[in-house]
Amino acid sequence: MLIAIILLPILIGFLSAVWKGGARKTRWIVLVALQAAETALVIAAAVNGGDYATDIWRITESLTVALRLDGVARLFTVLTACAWLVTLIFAAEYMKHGAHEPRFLTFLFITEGVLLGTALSADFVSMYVFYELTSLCSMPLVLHELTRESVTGAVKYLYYSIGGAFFVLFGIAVLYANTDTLNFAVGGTLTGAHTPLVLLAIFFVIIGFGTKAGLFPMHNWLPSAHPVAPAPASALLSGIITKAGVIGIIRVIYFIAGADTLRGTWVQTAGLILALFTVFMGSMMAYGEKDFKKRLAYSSISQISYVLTGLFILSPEGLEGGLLQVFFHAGAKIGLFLAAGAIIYLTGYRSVEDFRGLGRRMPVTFLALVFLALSLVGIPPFGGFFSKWHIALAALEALPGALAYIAPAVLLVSALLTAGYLFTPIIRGFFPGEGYALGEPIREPRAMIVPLLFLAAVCGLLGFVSGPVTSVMEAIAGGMM
Amino acid sequence: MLYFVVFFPVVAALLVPLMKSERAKGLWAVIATGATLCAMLCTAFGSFGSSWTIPLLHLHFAVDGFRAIYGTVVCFMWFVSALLSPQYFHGHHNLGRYYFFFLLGLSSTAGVFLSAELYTTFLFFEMMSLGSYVWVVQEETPGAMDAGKTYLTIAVLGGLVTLMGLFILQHLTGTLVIAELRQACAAVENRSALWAAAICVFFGFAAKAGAFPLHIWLPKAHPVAPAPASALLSGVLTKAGIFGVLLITASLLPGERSWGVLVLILGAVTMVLGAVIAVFSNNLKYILACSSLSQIGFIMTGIAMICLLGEENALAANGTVLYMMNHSLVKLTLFLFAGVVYCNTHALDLNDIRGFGRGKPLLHGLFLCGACSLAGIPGFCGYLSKTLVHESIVEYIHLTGSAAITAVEWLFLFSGGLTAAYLTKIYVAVFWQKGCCSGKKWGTPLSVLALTLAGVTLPVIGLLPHRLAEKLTGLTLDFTGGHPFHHTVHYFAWVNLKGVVISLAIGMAVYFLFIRKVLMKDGRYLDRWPAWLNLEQSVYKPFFSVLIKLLGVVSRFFCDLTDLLVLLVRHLILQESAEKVNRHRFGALTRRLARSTPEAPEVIADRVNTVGDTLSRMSNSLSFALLMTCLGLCIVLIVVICTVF
Repeated sequence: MLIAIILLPILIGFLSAVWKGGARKTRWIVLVALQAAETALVIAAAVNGGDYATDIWRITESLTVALRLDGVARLFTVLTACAWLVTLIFAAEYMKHGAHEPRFLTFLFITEGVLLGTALSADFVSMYVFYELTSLCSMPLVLHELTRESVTGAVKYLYYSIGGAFFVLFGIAVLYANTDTLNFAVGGTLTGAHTPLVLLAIFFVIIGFGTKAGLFPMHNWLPSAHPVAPAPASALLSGIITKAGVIGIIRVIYFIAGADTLRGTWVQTAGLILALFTVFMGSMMAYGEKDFKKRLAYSSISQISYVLTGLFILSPEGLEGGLLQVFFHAGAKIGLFLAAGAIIYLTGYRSVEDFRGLGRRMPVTFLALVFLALSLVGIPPFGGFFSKWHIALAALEALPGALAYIAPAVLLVSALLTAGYLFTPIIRGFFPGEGYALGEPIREPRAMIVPLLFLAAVCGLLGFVSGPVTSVMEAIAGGMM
Repeated sequence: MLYFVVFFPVVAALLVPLMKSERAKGLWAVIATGATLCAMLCTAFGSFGSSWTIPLLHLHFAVDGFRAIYGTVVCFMWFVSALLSPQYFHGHHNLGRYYFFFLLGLSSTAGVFLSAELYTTFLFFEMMSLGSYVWVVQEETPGAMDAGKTYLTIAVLGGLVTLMGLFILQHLTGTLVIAELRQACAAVENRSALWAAAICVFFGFAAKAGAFPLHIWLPKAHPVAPAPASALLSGVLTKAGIFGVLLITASLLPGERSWGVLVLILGAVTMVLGAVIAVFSNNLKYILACSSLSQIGFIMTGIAMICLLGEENALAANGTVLYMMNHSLVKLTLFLFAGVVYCNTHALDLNDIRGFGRGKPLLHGLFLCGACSLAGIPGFCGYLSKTLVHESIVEYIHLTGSAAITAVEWLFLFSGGLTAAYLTKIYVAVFWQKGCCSGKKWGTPLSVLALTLAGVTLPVIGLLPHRLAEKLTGLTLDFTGGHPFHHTVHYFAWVNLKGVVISLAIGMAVYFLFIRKVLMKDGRYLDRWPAWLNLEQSVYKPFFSVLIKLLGVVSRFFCDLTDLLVLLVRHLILQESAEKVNRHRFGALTRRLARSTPEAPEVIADRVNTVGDTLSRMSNSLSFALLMTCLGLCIVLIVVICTVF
């Protein structure tokens, strides 16, 4: 079943590469239906309970390539599959005018497959392979438009990814030398070994996976690569694919090193400081950026480091907050990028300064934008509030010294900046000023509105009725520590 | 019924877009707010003292004395404000938006006042802050947009700082239920952390109340909002801030002397500052907004007295709550009055509305109700509250004999005098001076009803101090941490009247000696406030713009640091070779190709050159370096795997 989950998207990818005849509409309906089947499959597997595990290949006694569906994997696979379905519906409209649609779709689906593989991997080696494949397969998505910027962005993406991969590789080698196995196990497999070299290796792995998650100092590919991709791809890159880095870090902290080993070491402090600095820096950069998509990319840098902050706190509540942030950031950021895409598709405007009066002309998009922005800033009762709430409380509970107060303060300063950079375009959109001549209302295609409204509803409703989501995350976090 | 109060306005707001005509929207607002008011009254009488919990949403509500009274005040104010709206908004644009957020505001504000847990308070407080932004910018004039920006910045900032306070509080006490907080906070050992929490929570609520130095949004936002909304902003939303301050005083830091002193200082500064600016200004709504600022200062002085007097705080506790109610109702009356003036004259500058009130006895009487109550004339609600707070200060002087508190008492009387002075300024300008406007008619029946409802309450409460006012405030002592009266207060005895007499004497002196001599010339009002004396323009904006620029530069540096390093390394190690220009336009390959195809040799040469160019560029470029890196990676992988096995 787990293999099927990974293989199905890849097969859909090949299908979309080969199948070029027939009406565009039929093709898209089939593709969306197949993706829906995949999503249903993933959800069925995730809901079904139990801890599936499948060995694929035993290299040696201690080194296997295996898949496993545990709590974290459940969260990430469901998130990925749903995100892909939503985005695909949006893409059906968005990609209408673009060329090379089959190529785009092929890589989109293959990326989904390997990303699911990353989430499902049960050991470091297979995760590393899938993780690298994710980088490679998603690069063509950035490259898609073949403009000067997109080529630069894609090259930078690849360059940084490979740089990060070297860090990870070094870490794997050292860790393997110090443990008996590279299989993931709750509580970590690193028994007692607390040597400086091991800590350094863990730190390197964190930096390496942090590349994908946009952690300083390896973050700078994000603002170059994300904005130049077509909107559906940017949405997935920012909302989901960056989370591959988060999976990596979760696996190495909680399943290889073990939270207890790391607590109180310099690795935890360094990780926290890097994450908090990234949170602040990303927001600050976004605040000063005019291009809406680029602003969102900087915002992703900041928001994903909220997740990392939660992870580095190394307490169940911090982890819970981090996972909540994974969930709500994915919803909000995908929505925001899709909204940015809808604006570009329908009006051609990229800079926030051109948004004047747009809210009146395309009300549904901007309404969704309001909900998504409120969630991302963390205004209660929207979803993003709860992740910040848990992360901040966990920081106050579990961190020693001044960091306990600095961490929530940084999160809130960043939230203030987030409000600054997200509310201004919306305000400009809805309140163009007295006597401003509005243009004609713009008809928003249904395939664009439905995903946007869905995501806005997820951020709004699941925040308002936050109980179930919180308890799911609590269960997952509890199962990991 | 409580759920109806909190959630029905939301439903009503969602139905607003269904109403097509301007008239239908206005009527719908009246009906919805009226229904909510009835529901609130039912809740207050029917289920007094009970509490509600919605588990899935984590919401807690309660109805005790203070909440019931203030919930009713909120609903009443919304209802009255809705009554004036149809006339005020006649012919305006974007009414759907206004009424939507108007009703949403009712729900969120009622939620703040009825909440029994700080998370619920915070949730509704944020909804209220963000929703009322739309009221401020409703007109979309440049002034409104600018005021809206300041308003939103302070609101979001205040909200987040409060949130920080809630984090710390939750961490320290493990509960945010207001009723449990007093005990939980008393048990906290880490007092400095508790203080940090209290200050953070205070920040957001004080910002909403308009306390110095976070008051900058208030005089900007209140005048530019439409009058029915200004009445609510001034009358109720500031009280939501006061609600928080009361809560900290009564539950978080009860009886802490330093806390009382802090609130007293901020209150006194706000009190004097607002009154002084109000005396100088000439715009009707601006005067009223600054007056709100000043009155918030009075209320905070009262709160400080609740804290400082401890066991003896009966006067202060009753006086403060009565002061809040008084100010809400007065500002409702006066802002609706300003709305009426604006509907008829489309002006707010005192010079342009001179003589508007001549020959309108009802309007005259209702304005006097509001103004007298605000100035604290005996017989009106304001007199009772001002007297109680003043007497509490006098009591504290008796207890401590401190000179600083005597100074506060004089500031209190002086600000009271200034209140009388600026109200006289408005009164004389609108009702006595001769001007352009005349005519008997000033409002539709609904508007008349609105103003009458708002105005008449004030003398009613004022004339029944023992039978009504003290009964009401007596119910709130639980919430404010006050104690009941030890002896009856003789409101109309000379001891208590003395304060008002001094205040009014100061007020008349200021009016005749300063306003008439310095601020007026030939019956016209002059603007003599120095423009540079503006906290926002001369301190906050420069400071924060420099800070943001600085942080931006630092962030930009760190953000691009990795790229810079990479480029530096590349420049040092991988020196790019100069591009070779392909000179063989017709090389051997081209000639051979040309022979086999019918195309022109130039075309083929071009194609070959393109391929050549691409290849050479690739070998020079970053991507080539990348491919090499890839290769290196593969080799490393193989080596690693070989060593491992």
